[in-house]
Amino acid sequence: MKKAVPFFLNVLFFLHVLLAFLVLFEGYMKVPFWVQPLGRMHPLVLHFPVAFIVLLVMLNFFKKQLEPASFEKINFALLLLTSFTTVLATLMGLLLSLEGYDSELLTLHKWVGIALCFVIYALVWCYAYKKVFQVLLYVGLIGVLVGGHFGAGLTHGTNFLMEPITASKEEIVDENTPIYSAYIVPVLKSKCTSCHNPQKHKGDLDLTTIEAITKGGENGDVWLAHNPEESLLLKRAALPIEDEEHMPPEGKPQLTAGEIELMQIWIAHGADDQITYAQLKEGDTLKQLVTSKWLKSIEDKQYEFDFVTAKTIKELNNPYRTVVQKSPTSPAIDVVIFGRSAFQENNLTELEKVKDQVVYLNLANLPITSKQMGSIGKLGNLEHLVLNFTDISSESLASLASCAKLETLSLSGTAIDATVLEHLKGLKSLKEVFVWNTNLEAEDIEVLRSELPKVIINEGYIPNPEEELQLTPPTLVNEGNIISSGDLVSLGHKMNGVTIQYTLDESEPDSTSIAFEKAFSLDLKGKRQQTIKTLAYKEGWLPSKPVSYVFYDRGLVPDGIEVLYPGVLSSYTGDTEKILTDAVRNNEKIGFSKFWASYNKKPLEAIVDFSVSTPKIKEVVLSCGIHYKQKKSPLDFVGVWASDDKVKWQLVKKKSFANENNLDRLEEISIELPQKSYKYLKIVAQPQKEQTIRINQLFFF
Amino acid sequence: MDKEVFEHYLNTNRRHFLGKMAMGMGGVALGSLLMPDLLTGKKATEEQLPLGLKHFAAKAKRIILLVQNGAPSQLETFDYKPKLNDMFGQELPPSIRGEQKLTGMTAGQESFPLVGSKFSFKQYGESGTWVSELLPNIAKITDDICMIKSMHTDAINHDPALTFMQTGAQVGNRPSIGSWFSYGLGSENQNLPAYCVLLSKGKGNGQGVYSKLWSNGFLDSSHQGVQLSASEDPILYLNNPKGMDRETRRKMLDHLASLNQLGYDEFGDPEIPAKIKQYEMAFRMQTAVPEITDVSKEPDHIKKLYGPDCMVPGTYAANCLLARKLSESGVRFVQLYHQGWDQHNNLVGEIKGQAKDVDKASAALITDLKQRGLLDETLVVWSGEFGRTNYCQGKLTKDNYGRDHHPRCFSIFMAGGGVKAGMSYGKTDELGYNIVESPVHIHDLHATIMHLMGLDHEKLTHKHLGRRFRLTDVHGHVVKDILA
Repeated sequence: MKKAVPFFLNVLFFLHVLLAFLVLFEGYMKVPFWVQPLGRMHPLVLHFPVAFIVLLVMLNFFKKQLEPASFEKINFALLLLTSFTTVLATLMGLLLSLEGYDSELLTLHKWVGIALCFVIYALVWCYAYKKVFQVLLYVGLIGVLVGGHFGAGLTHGTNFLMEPITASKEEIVDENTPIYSAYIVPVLKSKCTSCHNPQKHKGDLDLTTIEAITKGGENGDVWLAHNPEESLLLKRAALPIEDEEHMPPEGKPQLTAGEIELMQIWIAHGADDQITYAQLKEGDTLKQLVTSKWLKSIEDKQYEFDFVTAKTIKELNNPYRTVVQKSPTSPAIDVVIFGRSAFQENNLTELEKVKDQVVYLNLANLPITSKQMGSIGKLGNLEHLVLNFTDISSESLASLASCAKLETLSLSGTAIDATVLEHLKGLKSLKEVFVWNTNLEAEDIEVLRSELPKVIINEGYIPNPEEELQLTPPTLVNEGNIISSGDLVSLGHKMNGVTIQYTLDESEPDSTSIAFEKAFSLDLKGKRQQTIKTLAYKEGWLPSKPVSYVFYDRGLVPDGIEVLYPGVLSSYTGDTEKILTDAVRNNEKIGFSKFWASYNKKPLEAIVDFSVSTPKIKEVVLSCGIHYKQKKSPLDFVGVWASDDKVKWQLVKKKSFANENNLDRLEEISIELPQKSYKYLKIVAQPQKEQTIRINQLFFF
Repeated sequence: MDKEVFEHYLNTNRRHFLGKMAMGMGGVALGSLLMPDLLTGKKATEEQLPLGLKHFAAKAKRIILLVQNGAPSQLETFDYKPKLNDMFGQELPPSIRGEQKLTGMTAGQESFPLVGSKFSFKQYGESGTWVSELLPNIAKITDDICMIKSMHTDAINHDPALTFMQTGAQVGNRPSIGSWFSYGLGSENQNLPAYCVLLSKGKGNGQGVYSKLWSNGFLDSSHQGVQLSASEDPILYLNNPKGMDRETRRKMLDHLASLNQLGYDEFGDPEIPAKIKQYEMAFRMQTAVPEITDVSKEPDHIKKLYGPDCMVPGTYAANCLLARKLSESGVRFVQLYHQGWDQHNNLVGEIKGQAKDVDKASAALITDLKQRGLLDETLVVWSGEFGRTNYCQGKLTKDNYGRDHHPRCFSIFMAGGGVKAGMSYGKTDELGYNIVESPVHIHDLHATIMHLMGLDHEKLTHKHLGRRFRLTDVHGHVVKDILA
């Protein structure tokens, strides 16, 4: 005994420090799997401290009947044993609690347990102080009763103890519960029916059932549908509280402002005892009120079907099919299939593996026909189906009869017609259908609405025939605007069915101008440029503004071009050769873009090769861009050198532009040469000091 | 006697004390074995949730963010303040302004005359939402949108404010909001990028838009926003060169893949299979992208709905239509920027054009998503980076005025994706300077957007430079009142 006691005391100290430490840093704790069995022994061990504490209390209660020396021995030994088993049970309980229990009850149980453990440990320390000992002992007894009760609640359920006495079912409220039974009845129950029930029926009024309410009382009807102002219930509630007639009577629980508001709006809506939240239209005042003030947030929807394995889901995913679980805690699966041109039937049939789990399926824009609809019919828990712009018809929907849970159906842009009604009728859970851009006429939609009163039929945007908008002008289909005479020119428009009209003689186009049908050959007739003026017409639209497209003569095409220095200030510098000879001439006064080769300090030096074709050349034209902020000429001079071997260069012409005041003239710089064949030409354009020139194209005539 | 012995054991001397401490340390040591991360500062409960899955089931699957760059004036669009018209030309009371710092542009101004909207307001829809005459089409859809009039931000200049709006921080080194969604939820359609960016420019005074706004920051570069070109061909270099058909391309890719595979077998570089995958994606994009960008198949009245500008590439209307098509095809996050809302002066003249540019197409986008049954699963957000002052910047005349930057309040709207429809949330004071009811900070907006998309903004983190980063940093509260 003498040796055992200090040992026990040390062990107790050790375990309590451990407990305190674990409690303090609980958030950091990660329980390895091999410790888990220890936690799970909690239910096994906990009965020891329960029994020991009761025993300890009894022992102390009968203290006087026992011989003092042996009492002290037994009492202290039992106390150590109690403390030991208590701390053991608490530690195990703490480990067990980390396995994912999470409830208020657990928190209560845990803290009572921990407190109890330290109370018992305190008993050991206060052993010498009998008064304190007594008080703590009784605290401990209460603790074990309370803690034990919470613990039992955890394993058996909170109402386990009193269930046989208090058994009553709690109503589950969801969006399909009538507003009346979900929200109105509870108000009546808590504020009215204590006096207005079949037993008491004050004022000859019973408010416990809808039938009794409809019957009314001695003062008439309780409420009048659509007429909250004249409804007795609300009138009485609105009277000043001192008034004899005010209900509920003074001293009884009163209706809150929120409850009165709900009653008012529900009565104004028609006092329909069957209408549910789900049936209310979006934007409806009753719906808004319920949403904002009454509806408890709907948690993750609960499903009865099982999870599928992550492996199955992974296998079903491919570049054209996305299969994803709603959340880690929901077994429901969303599926989207993409790519009209890549669609294969097995993309749909393979969903058989998750047929119970698929609740959302989006097949928009795919070539779905009646043939594939059978696979969709197998998805028994489907809630949301998108078939927009698929190739289905009304009959295709027959396969959906087996989708009893289908709530939303998007059919926009399909060929469905009025016969769709019979297939929709069979879908009992249906809440909303989207039928925009289908063959349904306005009157068909009216029929749908009257035949399916619980379903919201969304017909979408209907254009206003009065609204006339201006068309955009025709666009140029050609990639460039530099052509050789006789090249094909084509115009286009994003809108189908427009008439494009154009002129080639600079006159303003109108509906009598030439109609564009297909690409036409543009004859430049020896001119350097040709303007096409064009505009578009379409019924129901205002004609577009006229637009001009200018085409430039390509002139002589060099056999090759070489630029000695690619230029500056542009990320496209490497493309200088291309910029100078592509078929695009830019007409805008702008800064840097891929259309301009830019030079400051160092000049443009382009060597142009005509050694194979050897045409006769009389003119070189540089098409340049002038920055809109430019004040004085950026160009010093342009010079043309000629050579037969690219080694010896001979100056042909040099022109200074340093003092040019009319900057517009710099946009097209023409250098005339003595007309003859040149093998190689070197064109040099030197910018002025601290100026930048931008060159867009080189022409040779 | 025995009693004394017990008491002796219970009385502590130094030796006992030290001996017990040793036992205590033992207890601590044993306990610490269960806490591998005690000293690393990481909480076991902060464990990373799986990427690619929503944290909880939520309605919204995709987002379209319509950024009105330059900050549209809330006082001329959604926040109706008739008192300002009554107080035309009167001085802004210092009690209202409080400690608000001003931009360099008006800090030197001697007087701050109040000015009301030159444009009239009316209530629209069953919800009775106030909208100005500048936005007649948005006015028609007020019952589908949730207006938030009590937004506020920290920054007072465009770049930091826009960066804050985009990344949750004013300095530009964090991932953009779209990158966070790409990171957290992945792509819905494997044939398209998860995050696309579209740019357009109005005629009004513009402010810069830089690619840092759709940067992936410290996230993997695959989460970067992909900017589509404002031309007829939004994604360049996707067509096969002349003379190569799809069959040939397929054969070429197969062969290339087998060669790459050889390389991988030899070197084991993970970039090689990544490259093979990219070639395959590009191959699939060759069919997927034309299906999306082809506007000609849209019914005529869709073009009427968005307005004829939707046929001109690079306009806001064309971008709205393209945004719908991208979103419909499973692009997780589509972001539009429309420049030109920075009306420091000549507000009356400029804002008309700006509003006209965006009004029809913004409303059309929401209507179009709705008629396809997609509005429920697509969240649309229309927002600038801050608001504008209730006093005039520059010269105040009867017919014209300007407004400076104002971070204390501005109005935005959201639609679809689990947001309450037909609601106005939050309130500013009579002079439209301070928020008096339900303020919503940018961090709160981010937290709410993430919540609507099924992500817990406190749980989507990425470890970088030794700490875990979030879009909302250490802030943000979900605005529960606007959740449907």
